[in-house]
Amino acid sequence: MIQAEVLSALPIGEQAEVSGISPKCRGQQRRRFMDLGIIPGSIISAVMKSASGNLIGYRVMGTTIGIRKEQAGQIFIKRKKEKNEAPQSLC
Amino acid sequence: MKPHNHCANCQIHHRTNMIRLGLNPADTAYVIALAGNPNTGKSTVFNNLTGLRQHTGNWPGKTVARAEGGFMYNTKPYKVVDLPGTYSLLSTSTDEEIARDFILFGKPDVTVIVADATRLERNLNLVLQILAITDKAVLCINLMDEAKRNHIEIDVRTLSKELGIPSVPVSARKKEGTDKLLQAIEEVATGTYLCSPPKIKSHSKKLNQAIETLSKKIEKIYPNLPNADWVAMRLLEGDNSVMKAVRSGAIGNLHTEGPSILKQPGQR
Repeated sequence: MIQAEVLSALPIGEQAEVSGISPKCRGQQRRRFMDLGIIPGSIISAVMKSASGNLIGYRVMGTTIGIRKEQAGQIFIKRKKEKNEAPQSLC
Repeated sequence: MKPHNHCANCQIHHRTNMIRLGLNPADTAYVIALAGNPNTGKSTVFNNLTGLRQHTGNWPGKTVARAEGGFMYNTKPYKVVDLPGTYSLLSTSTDEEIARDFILFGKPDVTVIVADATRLERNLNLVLQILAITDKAVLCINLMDEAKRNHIEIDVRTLSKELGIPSVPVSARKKEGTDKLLQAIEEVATGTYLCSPPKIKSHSKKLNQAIETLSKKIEKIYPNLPNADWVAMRLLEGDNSVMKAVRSGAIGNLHTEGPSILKQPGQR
């Protein structure tokens, strides 16, 4: 099995596909992630960073949401191999 | 809908049949809840319906408490409740709880789900969650003008068919589609349109069994509770606010108090 990358390692401006949420993240927090559109298969990109760098804005399903580093570390992603310019995704 | 006369099929007829009642709804025949994701234009739809000028803004989280208003349509008085925007009915923040409690226990006659046409995928999560609780719903696909600008086409008919509820394309900002929305609301409220949303069942046999056992027990204690299955599922998930409500009996009260919570805005 390939070592899964985590969302917190995604540099600003890059895009990836969500592959899962860590089993350590449970209950309401997990639910919240899923409600916000973080589910396997959805495309997520890091778009902005707070001054402290702890809070990062991720764009998923057309909305930007802020996630803290610790929480982003519990979201697994698959990075796209080919580096084609991401088309203006609308959804 | 059975047309009473030839005029009944004409949009102009309906527009003249709509009287905005503003803040003073008369004895209401039907209660309508406006729900949806944050920043999808619920308050704009609300203002279109009631003629009120509830403060609208293009940022999420603007409506934190609920606002109420009324209108007359085809001689029947309706009351509209504008709820705070939520991504889900399963979450924890106060504004999301207001929305959830109202849809769950306020028993609106019709829940109008306002969705953002440009972010439909995200919005459908809430749609399915609401449909798990109530059958009587109308999907109002708002911001159609915005979608058009972004070259997004929406197959409204298929969507309506798959969801089992009427779906109406609306551009609330431009006041387009209100007639059709009113028509759909009336059809669902009066029962002319029978909604048949698909019930999503878990594939896990064990889970279904657990839900069934638990919901039977809940129904024994609170026999008038609608959505016992939903409550059971929340208990299994360990939802603290639902657990508290079940323990203290507030869940039963919420139901019987249904209409009276309506009369006291700001109080839950």
